[in-house]
Amino acid sequence: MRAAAVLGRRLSAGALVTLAVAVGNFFLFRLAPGNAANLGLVPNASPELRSSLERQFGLDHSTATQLRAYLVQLAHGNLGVSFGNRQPVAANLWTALVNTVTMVVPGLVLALALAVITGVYAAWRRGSAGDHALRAVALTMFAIPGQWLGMVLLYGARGHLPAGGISDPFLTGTGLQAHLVDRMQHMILPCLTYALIVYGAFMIVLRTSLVETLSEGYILAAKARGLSNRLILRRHALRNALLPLVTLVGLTIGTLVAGVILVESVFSWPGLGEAIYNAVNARDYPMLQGAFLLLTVVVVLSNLVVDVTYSYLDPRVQL
Amino acid sequence: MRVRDHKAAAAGLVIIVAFGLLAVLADVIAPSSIHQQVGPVFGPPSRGHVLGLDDSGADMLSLVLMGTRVSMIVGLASTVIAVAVGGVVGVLAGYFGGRVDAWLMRLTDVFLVVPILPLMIVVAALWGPSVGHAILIIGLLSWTPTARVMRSQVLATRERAFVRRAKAFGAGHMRIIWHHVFPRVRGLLVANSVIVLASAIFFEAALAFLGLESVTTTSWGTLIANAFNRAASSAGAWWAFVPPGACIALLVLGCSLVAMSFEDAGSARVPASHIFAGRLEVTRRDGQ
Amino acid sequence: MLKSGHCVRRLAKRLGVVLTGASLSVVLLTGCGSDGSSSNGGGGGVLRIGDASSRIDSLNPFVGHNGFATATFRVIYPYLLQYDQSQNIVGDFAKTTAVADGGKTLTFTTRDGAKWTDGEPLTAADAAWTINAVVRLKDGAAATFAPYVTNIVKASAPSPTTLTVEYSTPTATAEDGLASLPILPEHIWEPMAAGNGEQLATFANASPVSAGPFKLTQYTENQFANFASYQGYYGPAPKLKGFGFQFFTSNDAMLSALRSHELDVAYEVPPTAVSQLESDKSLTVNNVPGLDTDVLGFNSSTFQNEHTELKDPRVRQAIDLAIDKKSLIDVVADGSGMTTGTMVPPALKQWNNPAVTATPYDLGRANDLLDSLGYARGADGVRTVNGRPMSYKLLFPSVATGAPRVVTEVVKQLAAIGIKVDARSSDFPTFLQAIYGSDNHYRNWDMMISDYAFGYDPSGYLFSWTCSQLGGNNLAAYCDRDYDGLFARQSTQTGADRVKTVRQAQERFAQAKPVIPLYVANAISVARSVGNLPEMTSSPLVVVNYMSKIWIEQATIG
Repeated sequence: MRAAAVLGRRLSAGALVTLAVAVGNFFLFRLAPGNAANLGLVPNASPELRSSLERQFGLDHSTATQLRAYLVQLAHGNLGVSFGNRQPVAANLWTALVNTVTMVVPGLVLALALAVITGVYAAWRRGSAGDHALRAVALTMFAIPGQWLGMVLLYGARGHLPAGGISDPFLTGTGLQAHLVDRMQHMILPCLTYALIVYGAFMIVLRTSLVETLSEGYILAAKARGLSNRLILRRHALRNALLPLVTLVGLTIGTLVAGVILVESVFSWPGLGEAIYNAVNARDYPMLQGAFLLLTVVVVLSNLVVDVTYSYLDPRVQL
Repeated sequence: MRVRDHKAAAAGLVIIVAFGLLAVLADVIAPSSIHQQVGPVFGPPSRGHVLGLDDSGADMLSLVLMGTRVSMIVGLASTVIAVAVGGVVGVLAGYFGGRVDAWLMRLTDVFLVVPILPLMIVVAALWGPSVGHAILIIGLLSWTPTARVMRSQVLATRERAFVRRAKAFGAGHMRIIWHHVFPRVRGLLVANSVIVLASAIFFEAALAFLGLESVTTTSWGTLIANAFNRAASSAGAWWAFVPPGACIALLVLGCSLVAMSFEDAGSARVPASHIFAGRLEVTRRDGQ
Repeated sequence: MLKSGHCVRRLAKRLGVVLTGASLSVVLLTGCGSDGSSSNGGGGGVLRIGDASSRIDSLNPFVGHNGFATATFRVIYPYLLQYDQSQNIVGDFAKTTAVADGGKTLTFTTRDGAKWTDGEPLTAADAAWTINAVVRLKDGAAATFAPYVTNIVKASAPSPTTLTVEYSTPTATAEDGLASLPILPEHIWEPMAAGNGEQLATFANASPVSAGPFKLTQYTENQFANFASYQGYYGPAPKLKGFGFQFFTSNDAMLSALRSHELDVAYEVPPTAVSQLESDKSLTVNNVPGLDTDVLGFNSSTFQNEHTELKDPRVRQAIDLAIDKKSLIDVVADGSGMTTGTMVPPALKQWNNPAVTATPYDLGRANDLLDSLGYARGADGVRTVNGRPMSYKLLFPSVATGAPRVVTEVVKQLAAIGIKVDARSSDFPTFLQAIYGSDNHYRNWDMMISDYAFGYDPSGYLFSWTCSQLGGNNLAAYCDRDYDGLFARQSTQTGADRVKTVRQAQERFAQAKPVIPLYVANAISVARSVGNLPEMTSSPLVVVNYMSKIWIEQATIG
């Protein structure tokens, strides 16, 4: 009962922040010079499209009406129509988001796997030369700018691995397997770059919390009971040590988004980052506005998910 | 506040100070003018030009040195803004409490979730690219940790006996904050500052890479961007992008070392996950 | 890089240009090396073309202007005429041309039995309809095509294979215009041209009904376009099974794809990479004089009255003297470019006025000239005019060829004569907006750097700087009656007379110096040496040949 009420409060707080961001987003574009705010100025739009946009977004009404119309349309998932291709912004963003996810998820999984392996090793052997070396590597990875790492990897792999796009557009009718292999090959460089730039923070955080967990009483007790190291690690230490990692992933979503934009620009990956980049160059304001809002909502949601997950994983924490 | 790991902190500090010195002395140390063509486009490293030449045939070492200056200025200026805004918001919220506190903290929550780079892209697209915009945005989106830390310390101090006594003697708010609050948050402010410094340099480089930086600016970010736009990789000119990127990495490394080394003497600490997430929320060891 | 979204490539091109290959380096791609084809596509008769600077801006011919869009239209749509590899106008859908009535009537015999990809017959009536529709809507929905139908009264198709086009007066650019106007299927486009043709531009044309040697099979905006050969094509069957464009956001990614055999050709290759690529024996670098010209322009608008000294030819001369064009080519284009003193690039040998050369670099004279005008240097080294510093705002689009490097170099060179320049970049649409200003008054800027490239006829290069192009291609607000008169005169002339007038117009232009040509960038493309790509040998076009179908009919790969 109580948990439900707390969750409800969290959700409403998240909704409030989202609303604030949406309103801020509306005014951000209205305050800009030029016609950035006018969602109806779609180039080469048919008269029907133009009038329906005017109606939906109340474009010839007062600012207050427009704000209300904007929020109402937003609630219906209508972000306007892209100036670039005259498709609904939401549809464009969806396509881009799917592409981004196919790059980010394998990247995150790879980074987490690497972080767990090296983090556990470093914590277990803390103070050893291996620990120091691994930490130094992780800190360095954390400090490296994504676009730069992408360039370095591209330089190293040039001519050996695909470095542009999501797939080979000229691969036609060669069977499912060939297409899969092609997609995988195209994923190697961007996913690896992404994994490496997010790996550093993951590893340090995991190691630090493991070190703390391992020094706690119940672990020592488990050791005294003669449980094997592996068992202690798996059953007791790792689960607790993963908590701060969950926090980190949630809290750094904003930074992770920046990484996505940069990695996609280096490797011509047609995801959200590229969509934003193209929108800037084409003055496609509805796309820009929609993409910015989408990213902010993703951050809000992930913060919420982290809070909830955290309390679920660790009953000591109250929301 | 005490320093947990002296060696790491010292190493980090040395790195930051060294870059600071390089920034100040850049034009003295730089072997040649960054506006002067001293050899072929993408000339390789040689005895005269240890870091080779860039895509205009200018000396990379000089460019990296001069770039240090701009990158450091962006970093420091945003840090000043972040700490100033955060300080004011935190003190106001903590001191006045009640409604003011509630609203300011809600505002903080909103700012906490705005993703910096996308917002910067939007602003640069709407108002045009400039170093000033970059500084403002980084500064105005990085104050939340400072505000939270300041607020919690002000709250903790407000009701303490000596503060009430000081108030009774007519001590001003500023005086109380300066003497009783500030000393307790100093360490966290330093840690926050170095994190803002690091993220500002990161974001400056990112903006430059996306072409949203004034072209006549020479910063680490624009050097990397130039190399990328002029196909340095295909030209085999690794020296055109490796040194500025390495500088960014080294400076950010220094900043993280410093940030990680702080631990609150009063058994509060900054969890590592928060340092790497760029926010400084203090948690109490004793579970409060 | 080539500008996207601007109408430059669209302007009128004139009659009968012969561009001999002799002046241009000729590299033949021969051999049937088998090292090329990897498991990825390739080999199987599909030519894979990459570009990192430009992409198709629209599949709708009334909207898409840029090189790749035009190249796509050229390949999929019939055109009456086209340019051959020596840049002579030859037939395409038209087999023969007859001129009558003192040049006022052109009669074409068109191909027999042709079909659109949807099975409908393609006849002279489609051509007549397209021309008449464009003529009717040339001041509105079809404005981008207006220069191609200059002076046309009407077109008619007395039989399915006969087309007659009537002009109000003999027109120098008649054939060039008809070589630039795609023929569209009447049964598809007719409903959209109804009324004021408002729907022409709103049509997505996502799966075009076409009739050229290749048809579009796959298209993903900003990423790639694939084409397959069309069996019903009226001309010689192409040797390729298909071809495609892949668009990258980075040169390195594109060149990496070329190296890893994912691409057969890379266009608009950055000059800085040329020497590395030349050392790769499996690649052939084509580095030929191009048409893409970078210029520094002055704001000649009457509304620019803040820095009137910039309208003084002596100040412009001093700036011209202070710019070291050779060094620009070395630094910006790694040597791959040409200097010129006129807006008509030297690669157009017949039209370029060889007497108008680039002003040689002379820093001393430039400084002397400004000293003699009394513009002394202030404490900061910047000269002042009546107490006002010679500090100017320069606009440039980030997509301009060689930008931003070319801009930083110019800024640097002008600093040497005590002129301070505040350079601001933006994307191309914003740049144009800022240049024109409100009401096309060209306010609030002093200089600009931009580039242009047109076809093989000189008219586009001349037309851009006429008064009629204020708010259009004219980015310097240059408006001169005498120059306009010369432009008008050449448009009715032919042969040697026209050449003479075109050259005269260049002299007039160079005297006023509304713009200083910085350099003409070479067209650089790199190909795997595994086939025969005839268009690569000498084409000065920056992107794939958008003037001719012949190269794609003859190209082979693998």
